[in-house]
Amino acid sequence: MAETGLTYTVYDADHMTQAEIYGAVLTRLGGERPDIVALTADLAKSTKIGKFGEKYPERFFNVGIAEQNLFGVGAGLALAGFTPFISTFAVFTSLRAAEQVRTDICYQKLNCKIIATHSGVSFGQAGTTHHCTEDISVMRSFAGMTVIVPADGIETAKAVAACCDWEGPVYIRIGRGFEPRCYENDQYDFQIGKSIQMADGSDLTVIACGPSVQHAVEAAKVLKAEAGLSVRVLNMHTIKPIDKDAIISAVHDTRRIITAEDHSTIGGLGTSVAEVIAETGKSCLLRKLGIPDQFAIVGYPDDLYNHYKIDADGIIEAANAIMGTELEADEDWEDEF
Amino acid sequence: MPDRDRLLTRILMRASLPLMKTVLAEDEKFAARYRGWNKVVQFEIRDDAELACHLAFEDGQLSYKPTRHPDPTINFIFKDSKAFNAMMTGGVAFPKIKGMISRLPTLVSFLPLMLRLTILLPTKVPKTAEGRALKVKMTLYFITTALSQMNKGGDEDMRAFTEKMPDRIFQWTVKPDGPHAWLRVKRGKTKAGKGLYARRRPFITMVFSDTEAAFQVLTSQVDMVEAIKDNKLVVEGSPEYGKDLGNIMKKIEAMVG
Repeated sequence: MAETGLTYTVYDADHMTQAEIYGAVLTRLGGERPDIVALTADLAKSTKIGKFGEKYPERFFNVGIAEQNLFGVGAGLALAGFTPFISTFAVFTSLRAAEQVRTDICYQKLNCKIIATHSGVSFGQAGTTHHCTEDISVMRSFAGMTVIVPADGIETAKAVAACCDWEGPVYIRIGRGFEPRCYENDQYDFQIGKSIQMADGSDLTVIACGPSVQHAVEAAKVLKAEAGLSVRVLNMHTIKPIDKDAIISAVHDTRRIITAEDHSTIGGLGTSVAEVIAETGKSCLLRKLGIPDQFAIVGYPDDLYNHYKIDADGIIEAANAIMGTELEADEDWEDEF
Repeated sequence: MPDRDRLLTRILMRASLPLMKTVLAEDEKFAARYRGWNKVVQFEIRDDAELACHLAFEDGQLSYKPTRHPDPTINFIFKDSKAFNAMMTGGVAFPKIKGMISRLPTLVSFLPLMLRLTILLPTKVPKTAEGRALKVKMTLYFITTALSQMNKGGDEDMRAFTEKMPDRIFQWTVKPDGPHAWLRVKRGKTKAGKGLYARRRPFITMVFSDTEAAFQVLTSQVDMVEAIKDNKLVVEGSPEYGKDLGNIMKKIEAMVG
């Protein structure tokens, strides 16, 4: 056990945090790809991009506490032929530097990879200034931006590797750390834009991203054991482009969908899923779990996940409620004679 | 606990009599006998507010309604459920037939259609492929509606099966092209339907490998467990629930005799 940074208090070599894995993977990729450069705005330690800087100092740039400048410099390096990995907290990426991400990077379709840490309420005790419950909404509205929300450290590693060969700007949203592992190993196929089915079921579907995936998997187990419910769980790691086929199958197969995300219920995963459902023309019950239309309260992440009902308890409660809700079009109970 | 005779009447009225529509749909030549018909044939249990139904021909098109008609052409009036059940299960019954004298030609023309329902009786084993296919189709339609009517009629085993169940579809299907029938269950409510349920994925699907396999299982020539072992029947989904439903189907079979 050792202190590992401003926002970390423990380090477990067997269970590295998302950010630590990101730092390690990027450092490995740096050895294979001389075009990769790394940038940060005085948060090298917290975002773990500093590991890359230690090994490749000539390809590492700390621009100081100047996020708008950070993305402007990243855009310039991309125009010069590099593949910049730009890291800072999610709130500074999506709000303070929104214009630079939009105009300098997305408008020019530049090959910048943005790794935003401390997203959602994962840094809950730091207060509203450091919460970021709007970034998915903002980022997915930028033309050409790909938005990825890995479920755990293993998926973060896969997402970072996959985005290297993905054309155009990519926003990878990770937490502060301590997010539990969803996957026992890395033996699964990660493709940008293709969700992962964590459990199959026909009664309802829980579509989750980020730390909510692990909670959804746990909720599905409890719902099966206690209520005999057959719950499908989709890890929707890519919010844009979203996996329409998986959502349409869920609409058709289960007709009841719950989305769970560490983000506002406005504009994030839930909204993205709702847009797809609306296009199908099929009736489907949808419950969006996330941070409601308010600034989140201050507290430890796990307490906030419970408070905002995006943990296993909250998903179980929503599942029981949605199973008891009627679909108006289905309420003809006369047999077909 | 519901009255067993009334429950059986309910099942036979709601699950068996509507199958006359299937008979006509499957045999064009036979259906031609009723071309242009505008008549109503009713079945009712005397002094029973619920147990009545009528078959209405409109320009030869047959429809079934689980209600009394104000002015049927022919009206079969049974003194009680036992009498109706006896007639429908191959026994002897003498209902009062209103219109028997004044509308004798209608009655005479209708009776052959009614007799076609005897294909559902266990003793009837069609020899031709067409006959066996028709028996499979009518049996599947009968079973799903009978299960639903068992629930609506308050059968305690079926109620226990359905009352806490979330929205689920139980699908029966015969490869490669059908027939198909389904039962929807949702917290104590049930609905039976024909075809493939299109609005969601079934919770359990019972897939017969072909018509002959379906015929053998549905007529109890082959045990269900043997059929599963021989891949004549594949149960996709939870085997526990399939077993429960199978037990209730056996209960219906015993009631019908």
